Amino acid sequence: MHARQLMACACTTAAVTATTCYLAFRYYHQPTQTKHNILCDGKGKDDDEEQIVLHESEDTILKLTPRKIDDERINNMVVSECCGAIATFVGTTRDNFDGKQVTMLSYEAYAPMAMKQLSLISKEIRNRWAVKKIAILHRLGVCPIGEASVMIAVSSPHRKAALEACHWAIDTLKAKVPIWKKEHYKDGSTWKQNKEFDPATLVGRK
Amino acid sequence: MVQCTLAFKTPPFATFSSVSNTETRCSVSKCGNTESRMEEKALLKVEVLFFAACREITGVEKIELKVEEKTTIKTFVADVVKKYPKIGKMMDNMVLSVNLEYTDPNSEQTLKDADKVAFIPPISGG
Repeated sequence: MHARQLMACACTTAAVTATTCYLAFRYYHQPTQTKHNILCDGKGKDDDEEQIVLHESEDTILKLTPRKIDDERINNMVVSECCGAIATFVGTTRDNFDGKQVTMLSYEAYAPMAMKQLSLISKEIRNRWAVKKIAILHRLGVCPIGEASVMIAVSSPHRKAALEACHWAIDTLKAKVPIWKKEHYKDGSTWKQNKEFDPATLVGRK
Repeated sequence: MVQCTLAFKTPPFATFSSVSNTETRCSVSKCGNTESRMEEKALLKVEVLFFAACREITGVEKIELKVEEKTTIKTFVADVVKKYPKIGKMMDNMVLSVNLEYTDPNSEQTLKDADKVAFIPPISGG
């Protein structure tokens, strides 16, 4: 009886210790997330993490996500029976810049303002072109080499509207949406600046 | 009015030169008076956010500051730069966001209570 009790006690202790160690591991290895942005923790993750869904309706999807962007799934989301064209843009992480080897990119965003700017972009697209469905997704956190950091998909009855809207959307995103890219190398990293960024235009001085 | 000299407790938030002392009551007086009152100025709470390179340089992601009424954006930015001098050289190539609207750092617009001000370094999405 005494031996059985000892065995049961040992098993319980082992189980509690293992659970405590597992929970401590998960707690200390979470990427830092805040209400306002997602910070890079230097680790690549494409497993199941909480997505930030900015806006989703029948015809418009705007999303910031730490997950891998599934371009085929997004393409299918903008398919519409009344449309004869889908135009897409996918930006991917390149392994080099200016002769330097890039190991990965990481992104962070001022999420509420990014949501507002993406919403303004989608509304302006509808003002200017006869499009049916719009999807704009941007990766946050680590984006490994070869993976998509941004995707824009637009469907329209005829190709001219979809092509022009898609082109305008990525150019405007680069100029106006508060998202920041950090380029990582073997021996350091640097925050990038889009050539489209113009303070005077953003504050209405131009 | 009797002058009392006291050490004021440091408030749990940062205050600037554009901010007046907030303590209004003395519990002990050298002259024996048990209480006197300093003139109170209305203070506004402003939430400040730093991103990307700005966040790394200041070492701060978010801070709540108190400013006097009618403080302009321009004055406020100058005070923030005094507190975090390393972002001074970045200001020529930065914009602000005030309540999710892009704003000129030299704006004479005045701040309001509960305003959210974000320092926006050059963006690089896409």
